Amino acid sequence: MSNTIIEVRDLSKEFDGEVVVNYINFNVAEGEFVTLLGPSGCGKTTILRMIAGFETPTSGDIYLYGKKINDAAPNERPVNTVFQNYALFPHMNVFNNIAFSLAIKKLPKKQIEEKVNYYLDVVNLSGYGSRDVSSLSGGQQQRVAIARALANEPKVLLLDEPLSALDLKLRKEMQQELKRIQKEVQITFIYVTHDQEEALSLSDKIIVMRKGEILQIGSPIDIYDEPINSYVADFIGESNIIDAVMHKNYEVEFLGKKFKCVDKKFPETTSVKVVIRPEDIEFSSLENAQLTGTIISSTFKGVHYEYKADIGEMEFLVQSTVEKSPGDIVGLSFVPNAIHIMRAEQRNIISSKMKQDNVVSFLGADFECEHEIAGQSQDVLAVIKPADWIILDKADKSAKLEAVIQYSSYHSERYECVAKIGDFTILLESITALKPGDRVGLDVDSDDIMIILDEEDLIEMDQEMDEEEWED
Amino acid sequence: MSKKVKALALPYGLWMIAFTLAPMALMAIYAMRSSQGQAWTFKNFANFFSPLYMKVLWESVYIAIITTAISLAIGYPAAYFISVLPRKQRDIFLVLSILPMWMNFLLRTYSWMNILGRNGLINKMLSAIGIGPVSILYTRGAVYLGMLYNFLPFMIYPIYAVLIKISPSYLEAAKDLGASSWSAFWKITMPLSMPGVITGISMVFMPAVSTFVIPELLEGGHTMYIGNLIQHQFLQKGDWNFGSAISMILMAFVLLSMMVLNKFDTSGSKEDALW
Amino acid sequence: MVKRLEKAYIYALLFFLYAPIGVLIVYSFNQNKTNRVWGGFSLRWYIALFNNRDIMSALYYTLLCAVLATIISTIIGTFTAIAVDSLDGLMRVVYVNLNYIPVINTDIVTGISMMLAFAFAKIKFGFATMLIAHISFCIPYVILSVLPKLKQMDPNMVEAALDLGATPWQAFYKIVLPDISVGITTGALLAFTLSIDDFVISFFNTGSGVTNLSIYVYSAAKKGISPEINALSTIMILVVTALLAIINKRALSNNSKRGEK
Repeated sequence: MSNTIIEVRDLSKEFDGEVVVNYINFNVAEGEFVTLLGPSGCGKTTILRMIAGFETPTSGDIYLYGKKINDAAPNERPVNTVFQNYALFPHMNVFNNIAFSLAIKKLPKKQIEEKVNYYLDVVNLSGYGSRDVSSLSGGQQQRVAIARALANEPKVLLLDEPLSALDLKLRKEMQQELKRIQKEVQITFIYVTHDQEEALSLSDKIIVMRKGEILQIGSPIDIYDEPINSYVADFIGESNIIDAVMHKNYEVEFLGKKFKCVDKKFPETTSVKVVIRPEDIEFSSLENAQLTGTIISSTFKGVHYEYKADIGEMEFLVQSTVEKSPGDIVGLSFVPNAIHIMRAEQRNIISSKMKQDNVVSFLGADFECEHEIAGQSQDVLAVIKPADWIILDKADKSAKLEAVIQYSSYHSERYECVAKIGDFTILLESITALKPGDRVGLDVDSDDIMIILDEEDLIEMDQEMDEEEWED
Repeated sequence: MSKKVKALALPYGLWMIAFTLAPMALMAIYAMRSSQGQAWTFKNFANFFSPLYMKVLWESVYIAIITTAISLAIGYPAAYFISVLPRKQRDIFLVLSILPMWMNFLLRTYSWMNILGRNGLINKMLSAIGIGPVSILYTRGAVYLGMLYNFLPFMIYPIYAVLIKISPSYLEAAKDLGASSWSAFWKITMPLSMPGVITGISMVFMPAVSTFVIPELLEGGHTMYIGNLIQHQFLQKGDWNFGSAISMILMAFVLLSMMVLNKFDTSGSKEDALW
Repeated sequence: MVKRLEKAYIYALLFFLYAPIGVLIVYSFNQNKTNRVWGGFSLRWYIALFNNRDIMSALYYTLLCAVLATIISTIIGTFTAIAVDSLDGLMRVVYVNLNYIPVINTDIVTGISMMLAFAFAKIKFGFATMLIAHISFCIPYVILSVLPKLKQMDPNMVEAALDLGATPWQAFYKIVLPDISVGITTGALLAFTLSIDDFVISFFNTGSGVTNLSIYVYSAAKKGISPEINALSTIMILVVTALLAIINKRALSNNSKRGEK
């Protein structure tokens, strides 16, 4: 890609000890339209406010053209914001709102007038200069807010859910407008939204976030077609997510059948999840069908019908223009390209022993954890996410375990590694590069170790997690 | 930057310590000192609880309650009637009703002396129809009149301010559900205006209970009220210790009545607001 | 019918409020010295008023004190309100509650406690002590008028100004100040009114020949008031009415500007 304009490195933000943004890394290229996408409370707005200079990072750095800008005041950054509620100055008319930054710079009157008129034209509000901002409609206020930010001629325009206050029809219209404006002024846009459809239709690059962390970075097509996990898949559009197993390349097994697919098998992983988008499924004759099911509900959605079909073990969502009625037995089919393979969420599950309250022992070392013991000692399972290992230098004395990297691959700004501790294989994630053969020291924080009694607990917990996320 | 903004609170913080907190503390210390010698004592407080001074307190509370009741009885309808007028008229009548407040308090009270006196306007009119002269000035009635005149706007304004904020849709909903205008008023407007009524009551009761000017000018000072008593202790008898004790008791009494009053206010948080 | 009753009520109320003032105004043009008999129209009391040293001096101190107290308390109150708005937790509670003390306390308690403090610190009673007392009871009202306006203000507004290149100081006077100006004006008006109107607190905190109008009328009323006071009252009420009419007209024209769409 072209020149990097903004670099975000290891950026974290805590409010009153609560981590809102956790160790975020990404780049923005000049002229790019980048969207931070995630449910409310995922930290996306906080990132935007740190770039604008309204919040100071707890740790990590933000670079603009390679220059660190952490400590620059908002008025010293060539970055402007379009606020969610517009924040137009109520005691100034449209012209003076747009002219605000130019007047601060003490530009000559004539030049101010030219620029304001130019940007009024850009946002299609020519002739509105003398209007009172309170007399404008929501969409017009939105345009003034954009013109006001653009008039300062920033290098980067930050937009914080700018369309969320508009009704559906206006929102669609403004989406087109934003795209057009960005083309016209050729400024980098960083856009925050919780609306996946907005993100897909506007962005060059989408950064999907959850709970202060980046899940996936990619183009809209990447993210739609190759979601990294079921959360992204579900967040980015309606989908059927199925547990599956992959024993070899280009073949996946789910719902008791084997299907051809276009993906290779992941190293060290056989258990995967499959995403099939409802619009990729077609009704077919029963004999040619890959799956059969019974229609249980039908909703007309304007251009197509949305059906729920019972296929025995689960319900399938199908979109089609063909009319069916509940009770109809249907054949379902899809091409190999429609099967998107995701790795199931990865966790290390390690057989352990609780030695006493809050002390667990595994792989020959003792760790603090938050679990009380039942009885003298107790066999349990310790669950650790790959990203939760603390990776230390192999010479570091505080390291409790030593691991040898077996395999390492780069995924959306982090390295996913397979490593061995003695004979035991673990998965770990690293922000710094690791290559096969490297030796590292490992430790884990007490609150990153989850203690469970057997694997069924894990399944239960996952279900609870999912429900919790959807309440966001 | 936000630290610099917070630092702006400092000057007034110091000001409050010097001119609000220190004076109050000093008053408390005076109240607990004997007028002879330097011993700590509660005698000044104890002295107040004698039948003589209890009667003074009772008289003050009594005239304050009567004044507050009359102000409410006259002020509520006034506030309500003004609030239902069309906007332009409403503004004019409101301004007219509080305009006299801009004239000095003493001048306002003095003007009543002109009217109520033995040779005042009222007696002249009465004598024209062959009655009188009657004594009006230097009676309890004159005190009520003077207090009502001075404090009535304090009742009207807070009630009015709450009334105009009550959304007309509540009344429409009540009527839609079958309430008559009269019952809509009692069931909707009245309860919703309670915060204003409570503010009004405290704004009239407080100055009324502690006043000493109005009784002195309009009643000739022949009944002792708590305000007069305090002034008397400080300026005539020079007993600052007893005077401070009475002031502390008055303060405690006012705070207590405000707290009781606020119990009736169910409107929730009005943390920073004036009305 | 009901409408008429309501209006009659309001007119009766206004009659009650204005009758004493009307009487003062009428007597101010009376040729006679006493208020008892109408002796024909005359401006003699207006002339006498301006030659009455005591009244003129009282008027001077009243206005000087009111103007200074208004200016100082408005400045301190506005900046304090801005600071308090940015405070949170315990400090905010402390400030907001301490600020209420002079509002909740009766005048006589406030006045006497300050008198004790000045006497204790051996500060000579005079104009300065009276002015300090006035500023002290005015600031809380300014803060209470400005604080709600700050609360209503959209916090993004300041951020937007900073974002567009304004320095914090520019953001303050270009954005914050205009936005809370209504609260500041209300506070200043309240402060001025309270100062002009005050008797009790001034009474206990003045000294050495500094007398304001209230104190003058108080001591004169007991001896019998000279008719110049009628003239003064008339002038004061007319000035206030004129001022209010101007302010109201401005407010109304602003409103109608806002209202047009």
